[in-house]
Amino acid sequence: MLKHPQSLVGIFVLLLSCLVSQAATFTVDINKGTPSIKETLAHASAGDTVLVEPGVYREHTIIIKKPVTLIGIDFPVFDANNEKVEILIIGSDSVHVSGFIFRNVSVSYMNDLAALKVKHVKYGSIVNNKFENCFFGIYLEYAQHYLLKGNTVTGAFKNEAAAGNAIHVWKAKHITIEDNVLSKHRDGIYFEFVDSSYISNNRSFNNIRYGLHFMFSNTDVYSHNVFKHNGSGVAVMFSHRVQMIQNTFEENKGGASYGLLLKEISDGSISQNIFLRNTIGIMAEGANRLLLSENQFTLNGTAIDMKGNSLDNIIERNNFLANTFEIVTNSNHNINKYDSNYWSMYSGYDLNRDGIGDLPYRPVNLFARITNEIPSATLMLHSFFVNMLDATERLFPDLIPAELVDENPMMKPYIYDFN
Amino acid sequence: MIQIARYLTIDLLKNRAVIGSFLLFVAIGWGLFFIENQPEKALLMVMQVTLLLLPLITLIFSCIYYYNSYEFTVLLLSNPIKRSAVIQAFFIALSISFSFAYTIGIGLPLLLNNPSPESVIMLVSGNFLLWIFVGIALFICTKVNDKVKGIGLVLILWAFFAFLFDGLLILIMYQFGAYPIEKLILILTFLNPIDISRISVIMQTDASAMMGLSGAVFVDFFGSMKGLVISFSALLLWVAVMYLGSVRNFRKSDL
Repeated sequence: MLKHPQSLVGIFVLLLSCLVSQAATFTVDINKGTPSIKETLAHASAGDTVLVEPGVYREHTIIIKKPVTLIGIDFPVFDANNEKVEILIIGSDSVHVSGFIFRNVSVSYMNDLAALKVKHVKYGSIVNNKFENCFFGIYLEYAQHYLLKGNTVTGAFKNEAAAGNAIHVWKAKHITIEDNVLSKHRDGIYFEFVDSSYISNNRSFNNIRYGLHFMFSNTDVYSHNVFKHNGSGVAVMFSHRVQMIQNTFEENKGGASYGLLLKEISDGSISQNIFLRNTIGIMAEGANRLLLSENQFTLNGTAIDMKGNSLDNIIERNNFLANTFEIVTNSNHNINKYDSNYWSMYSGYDLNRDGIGDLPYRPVNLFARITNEIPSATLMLHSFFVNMLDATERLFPDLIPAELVDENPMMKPYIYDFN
Repeated sequence: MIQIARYLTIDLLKNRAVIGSFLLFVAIGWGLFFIENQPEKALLMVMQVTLLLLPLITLIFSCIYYYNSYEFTVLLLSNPIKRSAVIQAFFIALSISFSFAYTIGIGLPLLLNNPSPESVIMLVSGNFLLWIFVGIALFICTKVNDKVKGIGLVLILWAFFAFLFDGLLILIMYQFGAYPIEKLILILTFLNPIDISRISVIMQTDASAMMGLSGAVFVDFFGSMKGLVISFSALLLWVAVMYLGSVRNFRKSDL
């Protein structure tokens, strides 16, 4: 069963050594007058565990400088009383924090105050905590090999300038962010200079700006996340080799709202995602060499807005269902490859019955071009006059990019069974 | 008046053209949902039919029916009844029979296959459109006594409302694109009942695209419940104006 039996022996030795070193367990209970968490931490030595009983702890600026495990029993509360302070600062490797509620960290215009800050450390985890009404929720800087799992971060922000991010990661590597629920902050997850990290199964909704904000972060994977109802969707900017798989981008509506905004990114893949009811499903600016495959675009205003500076992208085997506009572009040329997609606006026929339409399909229509120039013309949507213009333009392409064509449009939508 | 309207309605429901258009609506209504397995797409097609075909059919048929009932009208007027009662009866009978044909023919498959607020709005505005175009037809016919001229005029009006008007709007948008013309466009769309119905439907079906409008004027206006009430009131105003206009014309006409 095990490939390497010696690894089993290794685990036993490790377990034994744990017993030998006799890691101590401390309990802090505010109702029984035990020493405070700060005092307990001062006494604890490396490898110890501190258990915290339920109650409201009004301690703040607790700095952890030893590799200890801090466990809350039945969610004890850290309350910062809306003061301009931070609650927990992790300054040591191998610290594990779980089972706490962090509350009321004030907004500061001078410092990025976070309920839980992790600075210059490695190998730790932050699991199953709740953050309520904090400026920043979890803040990682110069962290490596960290696990953030099962946390709920809920803000109460109304305007962007005075709001912090739910999970903020800066200059880090090998971070895993899983199963978190993030809402009502500025950005749900903010990544800047974060490499080789993994974001999965998070739910990010009702955030003021982006559900996920990605800057200068390379070789990351995000999958199975749900981004719903955020101010302007998800932004992935200035990054390379990012993989986006099986995420759901939903209900990002507004004048500058996107399901997914791609800006200056390259060599990534966007596969098996669902884009539902966004004003713009994907907005691509300077996106190069990406693979967009097996995605489902349903009921979006514009499925993909591919700007002229995006090149060598491959868009294949996607479903475009009932979008108002399928592809919009501001260029007269096409340097991307569209192949074997299903377009619900396609009205060709299939005489040889191979499931592929016999006529090529041009997904950009003239009306999309017109609305690109005069947005208020959207009001003329589905007008008979506009339909006539479109039909003529499709027959004799003059204004729309003639090369932007799917040679193998599918007759039936693909049936994808993910999420 | 009610008595006359009853006779006319019974006569109309037996009319071959009305039965024909009813069957056409049934064929379109069921056929579209039969061919198209995406209800959203079928709804769009139903909308095209409602916005193009329905006004055309009601306009032409109402005209022909009114002109062909010339002797009957004269006979009625020789009796001691109010003049306005006759034209009112015409309006009511035509509206009822076409509403019946449309609501049963297209409305039923629509609501069964795509039970959604969009479908309801589609149906309500379709009915409004139908009354408006019955009104327009009677308005023209009571004014113009020559049958050929009347039908010709009605056809031109149909072309104007169905697509020429939209062409003009787009032209205006292009010419004055640099200016804040949203409010102007908003006012202009109210001059075309087909546009009002179209916009109140697309505000529901293509809400995602509409939210992207920089001219949020439209979304604020049409997108909300208030907007729906206003657009329906505008349609009602159209019905009222056309109805009162035809009554006035009829009173003055030399019959």
